Amino acid sequence: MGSEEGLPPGSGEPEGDKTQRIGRPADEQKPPLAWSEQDESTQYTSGGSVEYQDASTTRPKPPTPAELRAREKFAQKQREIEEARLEAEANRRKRNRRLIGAGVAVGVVGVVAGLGYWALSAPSVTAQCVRDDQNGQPVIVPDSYCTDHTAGLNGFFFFGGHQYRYYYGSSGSIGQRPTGGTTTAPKGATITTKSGTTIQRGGLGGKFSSGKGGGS
Amino acid sequence: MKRLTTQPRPNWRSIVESQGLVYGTPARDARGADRPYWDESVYYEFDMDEILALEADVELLHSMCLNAVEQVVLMDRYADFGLPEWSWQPIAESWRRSDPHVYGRFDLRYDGRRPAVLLEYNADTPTTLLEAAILQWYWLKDKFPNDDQWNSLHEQLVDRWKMVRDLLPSDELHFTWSGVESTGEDQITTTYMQETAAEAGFQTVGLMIEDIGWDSALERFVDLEESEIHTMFKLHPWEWVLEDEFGRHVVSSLPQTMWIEPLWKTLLSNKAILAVLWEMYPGHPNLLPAYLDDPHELTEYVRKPKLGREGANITIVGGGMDTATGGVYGEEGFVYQLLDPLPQFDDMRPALGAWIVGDSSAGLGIRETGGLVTDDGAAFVPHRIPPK
Repeated sequence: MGSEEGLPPGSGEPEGDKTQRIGRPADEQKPPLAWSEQDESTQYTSGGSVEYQDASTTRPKPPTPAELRAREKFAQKQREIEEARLEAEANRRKRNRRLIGAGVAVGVVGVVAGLGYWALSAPSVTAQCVRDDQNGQPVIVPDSYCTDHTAGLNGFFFFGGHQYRYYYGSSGSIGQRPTGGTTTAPKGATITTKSGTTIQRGGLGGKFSSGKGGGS
Repeated sequence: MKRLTTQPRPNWRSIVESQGLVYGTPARDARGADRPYWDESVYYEFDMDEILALEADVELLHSMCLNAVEQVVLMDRYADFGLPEWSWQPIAESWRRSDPHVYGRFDLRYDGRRPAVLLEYNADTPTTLLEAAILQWYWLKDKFPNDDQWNSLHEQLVDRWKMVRDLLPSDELHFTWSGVESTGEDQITTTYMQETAAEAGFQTVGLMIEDIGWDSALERFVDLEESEIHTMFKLHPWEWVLEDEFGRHVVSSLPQTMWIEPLWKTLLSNKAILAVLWEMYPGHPNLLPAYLDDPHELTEYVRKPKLGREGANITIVGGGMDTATGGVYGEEGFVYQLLDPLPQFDDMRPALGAWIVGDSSAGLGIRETGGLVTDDGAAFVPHRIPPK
C-alpha cells in the first residue's frame, strides 16, 4: 500500500497543490466595495446586481392585474366577513334587548371619519388607525383595520370584536402607543394614511431604536 | 502557531475603513485598556501542516453536525433545544427538503499542540466575515505579499451562491439585517454577502428587516417596492424570527419563500447541539464533554445559555477561574461544557473562528481576549502562513 493511500483526504496531498486551493490567486481583482454611498444599482459582469431600498425613498411598483384581482377578492371577502359579523351582532343585540329590556341607548349621530372627508387643500395630517387595549390605552394597528371596514358610530370602526378609530397627526409605529395627535380630525386639513393597503411592516426585527444585532 | 508583533501599516485605519470596517467598537487588552478592534500590530503565524490538519478537522466537525441534525429530527428532540412546539414540524420539513445553506463559523480552541476542539458553532448568523475575508487578506498582500493565508472565503462564497442559484426558483435575492443594530456591523456583513451573491449573478436587493412587509391579502412577503420576496438572506437569528410577530408567516411561507440560512440551522446555532454531538461521538478528539441542563461528572465547566450570543451569560466554574458574564439570555436552559481554557499567547487568549462555506472549509479569523470568554471586547487579529 502506498504511503498516501490510507490517509484522510487533505492530509497527504502535495503541498504545492494545497497552497493553490487555500490561497487566492494573487492577481485577482476584487469588485469595488459597494458600501461607499451609492444609490443606484451596481451591475456585475456576471449579470448580478446590488440595489438598496429604504423606507423614505423607495416607492411601490404598480401592481399587476392579477394582483389587483386578488386584492379585490380579499377586500370583498373582508367585507363579507364584516357584514356577517355585523349581522350576527345585530341579532345578538336584538336578543339581548329582549333579555335586558330597554338596553343602553347608543348615540346614532355618527361622524364618519372617511378619508378626504375634510379634504380642503389645507395642511396635511396623517391619520393612524388605533385600537384600545384592555387598559383602554390606544395602540397603533395596521391602517387596513380602519380602511377596510365600515365606519360605525362616533368615528369608530368595528371588526373582529374590537373597535378601531383614527388618531390624527400622531406618530409611532405599529404596536406602539401613538405619540401626540388627537382623536378629532383637525378642521380643514387633508387627511391621509400612510398606506391604506393590506401590507403590514415592522413584524420582523427590533421594536426599539438601538440595541444588539443578531450577528454572532 | 505563534503570536508575533509587527509594525501596522502607517495608514491602516483609513485602509480598513475604506474596506468597510466602520463598526469596530474598541476592544480591550489584558489590562483592560482600549485597543483597536482591528489590531494589526499583532498577528498569528501557522505552518501549512497545521492549517491542513485544521481544515480536515473543520470539515469533519461539519459532517458530524449534519449527522447530529439528522438525529435530532429523527428522534424529535426539539424540546431539548427550547424551541416552540409549532416550529418542530417545519424544522423537520426544512431539513428533509435540504433547504440550501451557505455558511457558518466554528469557534475552536487551538494551541498548536493538540487537536482543535469545538467550543461552539455559529451556524445561523455568523459575523466577523468581512474581517476574515477582506481585511486580513489585504493586510497580508501589503505586509507579506509572498505568504499564504487560510482564506478562500470570497471565492467560495461566490461559488456557493452560484450553486444555490440553481436550487432557487428565481435569481432575485433579498438581503436583510436589523436596523436596531446600532454599530452597523450587521449591515456591513449583510452588504458583503450581498456583493458576493451579485458577483455570482443574483439580482440583489438590500433592506432592513423592519421594512419587510407581510401582505395579508396575497399571503406573501414584500419589499418596499411591494414586489414579492422569493428568497431572503437574513442576518437575524431564527430563534428571534420565531418570536417575532411575523414568525409564523415566515415559517408558513416556506418553501415558496426560501430563507437563508435555512430553518434547520436553528438546531445547529443552538448550544444544545454540543451535548448531542458528545452523546453521538463520545471521546472524539475535536469535541469537549457537554451535557444538557446538568453538569453530570464535570467539576470544572462552562455553563452557556442554549441561545446566547457574544459571550453573554457565560458562567465558568473551576480551575481557579470562577467568573460569570452578564446578559439577557438563558431563559431556554443551559449547556454544561468541560472547561478547557483558551490558551495563552503572551498575555492574550486567541479563539479561532474557522469558516465553512457550503460543505467545505474556507478560512480562518482569530479573535483575542484578555479574559476567558471571547466577547464583544475581543480584538480581531490577522494571520499568515509563511512559505517553507
